[in-house]
This record gives sequence, structure tokens and C-alpha cells, in this order.
Amino acid sequence: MASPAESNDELSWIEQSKNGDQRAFRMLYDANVDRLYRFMKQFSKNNAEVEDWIQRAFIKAFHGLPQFRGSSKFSSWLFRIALNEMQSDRRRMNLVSTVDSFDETTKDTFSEHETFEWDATMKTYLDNLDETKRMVFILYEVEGYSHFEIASMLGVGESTSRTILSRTKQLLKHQWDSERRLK
Amino acid sequence: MIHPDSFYSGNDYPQRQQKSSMWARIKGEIAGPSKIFFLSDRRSFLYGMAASFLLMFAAVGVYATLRGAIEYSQPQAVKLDKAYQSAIREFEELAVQTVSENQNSITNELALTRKEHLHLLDRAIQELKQETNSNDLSTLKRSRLRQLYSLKLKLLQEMIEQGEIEL
Repeated sequence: MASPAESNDELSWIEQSKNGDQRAFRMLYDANVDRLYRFMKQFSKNNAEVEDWIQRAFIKAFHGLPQFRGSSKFSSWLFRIALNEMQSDRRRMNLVSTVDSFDETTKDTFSEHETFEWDATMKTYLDNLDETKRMVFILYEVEGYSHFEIASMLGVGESTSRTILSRTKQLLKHQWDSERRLK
Repeated sequence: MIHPDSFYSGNDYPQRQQKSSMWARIKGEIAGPSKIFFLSDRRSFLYGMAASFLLMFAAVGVYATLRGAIEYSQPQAVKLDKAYQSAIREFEELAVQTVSENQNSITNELALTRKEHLHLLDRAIQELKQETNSNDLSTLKRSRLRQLYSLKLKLLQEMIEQGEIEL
């Protein structure tokens, strides 16, 4: 996560980038590229494909900066653009896993009050889940975004984001418990 | 909250070279067209200016060469004709100037000027005769001599009319 000092720098770079300052935009790139790349890498084994999403996201962000009002963090805005690029590619290839298909009424969810302990072996289970569940889980549990930010990135309601996360945790825990019982 | 280091592996991060190549493409895409056009225009302008200077120097060189070649190829008679015409023109201008300057002065001064002009005219005729063989005068040279004689005659006529020469 960015420190307050970095945030101030970032605000300055954003303002300079709005005026077409490429050096300031390079600073924004350097500050965000690793974080965005590692996240997008969870959705493709193909480095070239991930690079393409990243490049397109930064290019669109640069051109869209005049419309960026700063109501959200630059990184969450950038993540949203990158996810849109990925999803538009998925739609082109008919591989989309839409959030709309998620059933919010499902009863089999993980309560927010229940404790969830992450285990490295769960990464394999996570990889087998659909992209939407992975997105919400990683964005919330690893990248530290709020449900409000995730909802904005994915274009869903905040409650949907919460439900998806609970459902994902439930699935991970269930699979992990099953594996342990077998052992 | 899961710590990113325990979730992501080393392979999930971009290499330095990857980051550089991604930035290179991004930079290429975000470069403003106006800036490119400005640079392009400035470059074109400089090339244009350089080309203009080169063309100008080339034109001057061609002109000087052609002029030299034309003059060199002119026959001796034409060259002499030009020289004599120039000499007569200067002589006539001098004569007019002299008369004009002395217009308001006394008649004696005009008479002296005309005598001086006559002397210069005689000298020009003598010089032309000396430069050429009297038996081998070209048409142009004869024409120049006739002009000199004609001028001399006009001057003599004026002097006679003014009573400066006693018949």
C-alpha cells in the first residue's frame, strides 16, 4: 500500500501528467506497474497477454487523466481499466465469466464473522475458481481494496462484492477441509 | 488480509526488461501528435531552408558559369564593340554633365568645356586607330569610329554655331 508521502507524490504526478508531462506519468507507471502486473498475472499464464493488458491500461489511463477527478485512488482506477481490457478480450474470445451469472441468493456463504485462515495450498484451489471470484478475493484479501472500490472496479453492487467474497472463502475452506480429512 | 509476499510468487512480478519494453510502447502511444508534428515541421523547415540555400548557391554558380562561358565565347569584335560603346556612353554622360554644371555660367566657360570634349573625342579616335590596323578594320570598329566622328562633328557644329570656331 502507498504511504501518505507516496500518495502526495502521486497526486503531484497525476496533476503533471494531466498537462502531458511524460516524466511524471513514468513515475506513476513505476509506482503502479508491479502491483498491477502481479494481479493481472493471476488471470493468464501468457506473459505477452498480461503485458498487453498493462500497456493498454496505462495508455488509456494517460488519455483519460483529464477526466480523472480523484474521487478514487489512481491505482483502483487503473485496476478497473486493466480489468475492462481483460474482460473485453475475454468477451471477444467468448471466455467471459460474467459477474451477472453469480447467484446472490445462494445460502452457502462464508460469514464475515467467521475466521478465515489463508494457507498457501489454497492458491491451487483459487486458481480453479472462476475469474470473478478470484478477482474479488485477491482484490480484497491481498490488494486491500474495500468492497466499495471492488464494486466500482467490477461494475457491481457493493453487496454483490461481499457475497462473492464470502462464497469464495466458503469454497476455499470447504475444499481445504476436504483435503485434510482425506489425509 | 493476506500479505502479498505470501500470496504472489517471484514469477508473478515483471522483469526489469519487461517493464522497460512495456514503458517503451506506452511512451510511443502517449506521445502527443502536436509535439510530433511540431518536431516534424521544424525538421522540415530546416531541411527546406538548407535546400533553398543550396538551390540559391547553385543558381548563382550556374549563372556565373554561363555568363563567363557566354562572354568567353563572344568574338573579339563584339567585346571591342562593348568596350567602345561603354567609352562613348561615359564620354557623352560626362559631356552632358559638364554642360549642365556650366549652364548658368558665362559663355566662355561653355566654350572651354566644348574644346575639352573635342580634345577627349580626338584622343578616343586616336586610341581606336592605334589599337587596330587601318587596313583591317572590322565592321563594328568602323561603326564605332563613325559614331566618334559623328559626335565630333556634332560638337564642331555646336562650336561653329556658337562662334567658338572661326571659319
